[in-house]
Amino acid sequence: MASPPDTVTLCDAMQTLIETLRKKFPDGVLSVHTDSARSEVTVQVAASKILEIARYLHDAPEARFDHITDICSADYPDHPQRFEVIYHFLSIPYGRRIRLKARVTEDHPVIDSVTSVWRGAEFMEREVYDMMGIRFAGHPDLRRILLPEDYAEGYPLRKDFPTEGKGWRSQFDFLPRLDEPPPEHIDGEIPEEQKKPFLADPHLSDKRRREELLLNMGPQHPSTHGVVRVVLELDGERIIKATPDLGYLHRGVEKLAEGLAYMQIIPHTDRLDYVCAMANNYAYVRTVEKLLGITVPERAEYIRTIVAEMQRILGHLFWLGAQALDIGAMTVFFWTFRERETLLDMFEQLCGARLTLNYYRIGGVDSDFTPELIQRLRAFLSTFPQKLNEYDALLVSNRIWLGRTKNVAVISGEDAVNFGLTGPPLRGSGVAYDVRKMEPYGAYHKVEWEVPVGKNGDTYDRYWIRVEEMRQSARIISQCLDQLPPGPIMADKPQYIPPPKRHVMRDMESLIHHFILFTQGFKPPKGETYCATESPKGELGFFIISDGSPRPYRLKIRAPSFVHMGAFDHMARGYLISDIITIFGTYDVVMGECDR
Amino acid sequence: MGLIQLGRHEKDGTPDVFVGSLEKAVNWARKGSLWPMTFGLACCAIEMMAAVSSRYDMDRFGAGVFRGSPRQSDLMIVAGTVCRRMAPVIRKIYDQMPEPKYVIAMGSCATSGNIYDSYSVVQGVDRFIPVDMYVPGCPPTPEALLDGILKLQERIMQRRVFTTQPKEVKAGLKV
Repeated sequence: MASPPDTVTLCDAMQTLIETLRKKFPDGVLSVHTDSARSEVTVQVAASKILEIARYLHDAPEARFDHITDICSADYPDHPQRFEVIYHFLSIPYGRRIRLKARVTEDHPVIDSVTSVWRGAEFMEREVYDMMGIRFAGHPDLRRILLPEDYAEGYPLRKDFPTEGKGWRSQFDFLPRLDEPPPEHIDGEIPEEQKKPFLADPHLSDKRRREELLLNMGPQHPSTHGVVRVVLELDGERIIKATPDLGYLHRGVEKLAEGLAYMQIIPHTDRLDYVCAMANNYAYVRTVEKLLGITVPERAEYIRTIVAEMQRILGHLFWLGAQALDIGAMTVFFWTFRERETLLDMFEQLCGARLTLNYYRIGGVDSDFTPELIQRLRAFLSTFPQKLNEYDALLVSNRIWLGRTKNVAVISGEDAVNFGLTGPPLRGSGVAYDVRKMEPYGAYHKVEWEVPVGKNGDTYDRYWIRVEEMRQSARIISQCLDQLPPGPIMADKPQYIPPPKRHVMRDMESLIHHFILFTQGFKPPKGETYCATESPKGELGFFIISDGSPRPYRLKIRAPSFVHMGAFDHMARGYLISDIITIFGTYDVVMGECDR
Repeated sequence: MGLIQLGRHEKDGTPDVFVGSLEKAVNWARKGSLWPMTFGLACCAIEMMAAVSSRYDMDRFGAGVFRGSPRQSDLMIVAGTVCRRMAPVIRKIYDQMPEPKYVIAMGSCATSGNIYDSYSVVQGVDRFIPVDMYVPGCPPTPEALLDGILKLQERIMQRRVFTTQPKEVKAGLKV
């Protein structure tokens, strides 16, 4: 929540920018919509001018939208121009956002690619193509990304596509038939004469012939952190190209969400980034609250902040253990899991689950902290910094750890911004962008804490940042516990928020109220909103288009893991094949979130 | 184990000769050294990792030696949502595992698809590989997984080793 003077200056600067934009592109800018309640600016542009406008927004010193947040699309079957491509840009120097929209027709769904301006757009545009079938002219590698390249059923996010698909999911043509004799060799094991492991370059026929080896890694690999496949092109032991192949955990959450009431989507968000489920809940409920215009009571804001930071500790502990395990340090894994279990016990007490927690509600939280829980949390916090020092003792002076993380997977700050990285991968490269500081929410602006920023942009810096963030999280939690105000934990908006359970069990009116909300869902106002939250992985954003019905018309998840994978090739090139595990780990990718 | 002790050592009287069925001995060895494969698909994989690590320590039941290669494993714990795109890979890995092999479907997604009734999610891993044990939960707690493994071990003890297995195990695969 920005203070009033800030809002005024922001709007003024945006107004001038919009005026300049109108003057520069008189036939490019079709309309401008300013949503002052949610402080969002949407510019409807002509599809043919998108590249020019995007370049202007990126390059002009008064705009400097250097960071691409997201590209998504929406389908309006009844509109003459059926598809809408929606761009979200962020200006890190000025701290403001803009949304561009461009319409294309069904007969000719082509729009210029903005990959020449933001390299991070490559994966985002591929996703739009995969899900909606909009083609991007000038895209370097326009293929399907989440679904297989030979997927023939169409484009899943179109409104005329059935949620359960058209039968592909139960086609198991790879199953050997029972009346067939067993195969000579298992499918996938190529006979000797067909093996061509070395792709010799025919143009280099002199003595120093370069030989390239194609190596497949995944989708089943112990160190890929889930199911992802990477095709590596190797020159000796050096990686010359790494092509990530995503989508092995594509569950179609965005499509499923279109058929669910707003409250029912919360459990789906749990399973996105399943290592820190509540961070996703937080991002989602904040977006819905922004859409509905609900203000959350202060106590609930504090509790949410505390729980979100506990999740951050949990996520980073998991990352630290897994990364160290990948590099070869087994002890760290066991030690971090010890602390993780302590935290999980508290979550179990708080909401009954260990992993998929589902504790945040639209308008507040599900249940209040008990004094016992606060006591346990304080006891944990009193020993936690000591434990962090223990991990440091294992790693910081460990020559193997230093050798395998220092100067590995270096990315410059400029490149990191251009690729749209957020969270520790961006801060590791020296860009101090943290949503919690830039657009404070929860109780982050009421407590003292710092954003750790790295210098070299290598794996070691990102490791250091995550450990430091755990220290800061502990600081935030203990200050929040000290300041924790009394009061309600749910907002008072009866048209959206169900009554407390104890009332439902007692009086008839509450029962009916509860019944109606849970059977029909609530109806938010028409509109659209994007809301970013700093999850442990980076900026997790939800973009919701509401048509006034109880179900979202379109829900787009801006998943940091997905965007980070877009920079994988750039970061992996030139390193040794043994570094690929480190490079994977350094993003802290969770495939549930990446593939959605 | 149902062994019969025949004699004792002459000097200190410690057990010396055992007689029992070889089948039981083989089964006992198999159940006590289940090597699972590192095969996490989604959320359940995190709980599977928790089951191996400090507190739950799956090694106590002989099932903690996670292998990266299907060639070295006996047990595939399908932990997570099975997407159609992943299905051929799972099948290939299953085919690569040496006999005898066991499959645990961990969690609701691997069992039935869970809440993901969508275009890309297979509604249960048993549509294309035979499953020995289903562990319910979303995700199952490590205790539940341990329980699943113990139940699987009970089953292994009941297997016939030297007589031919009935064909239904493989033929019963219905898509």
